[in-house]
Amino acid sequence: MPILASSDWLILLIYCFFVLSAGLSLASAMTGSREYLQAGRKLPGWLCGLALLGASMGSLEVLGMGAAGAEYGLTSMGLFALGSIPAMLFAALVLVPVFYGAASAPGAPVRSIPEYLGLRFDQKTRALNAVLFLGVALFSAGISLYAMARVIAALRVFDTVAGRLSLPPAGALLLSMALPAVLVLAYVLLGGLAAAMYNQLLQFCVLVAGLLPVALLGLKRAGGWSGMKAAVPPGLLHGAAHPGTHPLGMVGLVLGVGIILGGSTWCTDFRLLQTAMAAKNAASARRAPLVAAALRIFVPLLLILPGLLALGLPTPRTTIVIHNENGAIYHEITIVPPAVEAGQGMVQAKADAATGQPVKGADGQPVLDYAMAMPNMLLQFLPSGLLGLGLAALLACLMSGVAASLTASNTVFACDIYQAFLKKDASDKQILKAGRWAALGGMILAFAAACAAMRSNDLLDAVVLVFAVVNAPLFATLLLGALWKRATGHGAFAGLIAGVAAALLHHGIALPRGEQPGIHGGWIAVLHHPASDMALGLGTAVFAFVVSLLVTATVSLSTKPRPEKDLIGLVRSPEPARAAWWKRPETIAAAVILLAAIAVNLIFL
Amino acid sequence: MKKAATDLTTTSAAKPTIHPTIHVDARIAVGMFFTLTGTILSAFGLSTRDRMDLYTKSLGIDANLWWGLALLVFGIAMLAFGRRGQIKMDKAGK
Repeated sequence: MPILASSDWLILLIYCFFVLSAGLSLASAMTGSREYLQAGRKLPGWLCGLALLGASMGSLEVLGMGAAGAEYGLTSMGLFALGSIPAMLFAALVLVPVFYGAASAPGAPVRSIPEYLGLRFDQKTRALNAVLFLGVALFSAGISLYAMARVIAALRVFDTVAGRLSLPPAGALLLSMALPAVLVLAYVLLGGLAAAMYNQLLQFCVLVAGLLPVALLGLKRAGGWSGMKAAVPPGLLHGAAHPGTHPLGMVGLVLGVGIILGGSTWCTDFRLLQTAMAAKNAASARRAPLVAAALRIFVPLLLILPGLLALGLPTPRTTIVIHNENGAIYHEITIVPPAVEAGQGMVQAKADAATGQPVKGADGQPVLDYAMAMPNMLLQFLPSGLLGLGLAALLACLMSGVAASLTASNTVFACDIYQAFLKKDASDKQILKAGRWAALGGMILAFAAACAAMRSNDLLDAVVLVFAVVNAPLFATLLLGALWKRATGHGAFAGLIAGVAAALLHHGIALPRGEQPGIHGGWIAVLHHPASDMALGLGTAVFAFVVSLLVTATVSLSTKPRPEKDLIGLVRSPEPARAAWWKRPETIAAAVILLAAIAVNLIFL
Repeated sequence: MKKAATDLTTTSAAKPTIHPTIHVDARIAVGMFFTLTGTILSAFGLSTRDRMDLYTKSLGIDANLWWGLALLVFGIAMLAFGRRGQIKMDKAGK
């Protein structure tokens, strides 16, 4: 059954046209590598902030938030705030000014995190980080492409198109991966980072415009806030206000989620930081994470709430007609597939691809497909017309996340692989060209990763692992590099290697209950059992961070320090000319945002 | 839709080619998108106001009309801010 009316298609097509036209209108401004890779370093702070927010809401994050709302309830709202707001404020006040201000020569500002590492430490640290980053960025771009395409295929958006082209059964899924991929590639090739960031602004607005009606209508259907509390299972309503009940405990939460997970996302991930580094001046760069944090406070209401509401709605039921003919009983199932019926509320169970029957977990209960919580709510509440905008919102988060990976990895390739190691005397035109080829190659690799994920669903879980293995050690290295003059290149390199090795080791010896050894952990020997995949990922990240921190510090102290004059502008230093720290506007803004975040969480939990 | 297309080409054509920098205020595109979709949605909502079968999903509310109007207002506001920003940017460029 085609679910889209022509009005929905019209809105979807207009949206795609606008996304593409951002690339077209900026193409003529792409005269050099700085224009292409860094949007000319000319963008205002508010735009960088909104682009930062848009880049941080890729398909994995958006589906993940809806899923977390349905699976963990209101607790996840507090967790998401804890995992982002403090780290974003820290990035704004401490790290972003250092990264933005670092320059290899007057007028040649640092273009990427690996380039910063190269200046602050040495070339081997730069190369190691560049290679690891490229791997992570393209792999997770592919996974997020697949994750959202799976949803779009489940909503049967492209079924009629695939049918008309007489594609094989997987055709609709391939189409929903290929069409957004081609669109993203087109505007990134044309307009580079600037086009990606202009679109991230549009995409953030479309996300709000498409999903806010769902949250509002869902709340109205449930009978307001108190009605929702009555409708959803009570276990989901305990917020972070009662952290004592959380299996990880208060200290684990603050340390793991608040500092390490948050920090390794918002303070180290170049996919996000590239937006702040494209700002027109240091004040704008600092403003970007502040703008993003201020808006981020309200994002859970938009994304987690519909997931939670999905559980409280009545489950669609099958009408079963039972015939009794000659002693044989015939069950005639109509309307609702069994996987939907086995679900809870509007969240269906995962269906076995071959039989269509719901998949049962180790405890005999059907395994719920929480990622579908948000998309099902779209179908449930949006009439045709608005539904087109809702689907545009899903496409928007897919594209903004994939585009962020693509622009970040083409910058890293062009600056830190091509110019740094392959062709040291490359002209500006050659770097620009390398950037464009890297975008094309990156998209092909990401698409290959998406196709691999199509064959093996386990890869979806690997994203958390890859993140813990690469970003958590990097956070330790960057933190020491930006704040501690004594940290040395050998120390950083050893710290990164040790952190990655420690993360792999920890993952190899721990296995969540009810999982098979392999991608879920325990591939060396099972020594302990974390409570869940999430706890394992968190534990791995914490372990990697601590090991990397200790090894970097120890090796740095036993190697020769760099002379202090070489480190000017690369390590954070007090700014004597400015007002006392508590009088500066950014500190005041950060304090207000922090208080607002706490207030919002106290009100709603 | 046609109007939007011509608007876009004039903004890019008016951009001075001497400055190799990015000279388009990002809010203009956002404003145009929401003005356009807001108009379409509210017009669609207005013409289907009596078709309750369409709006049982949205609890009997003509969501297209009301949300379309809200988006239209947002789009026009963004256009206005974007124009102002563009004029400022062009002045600074000269």
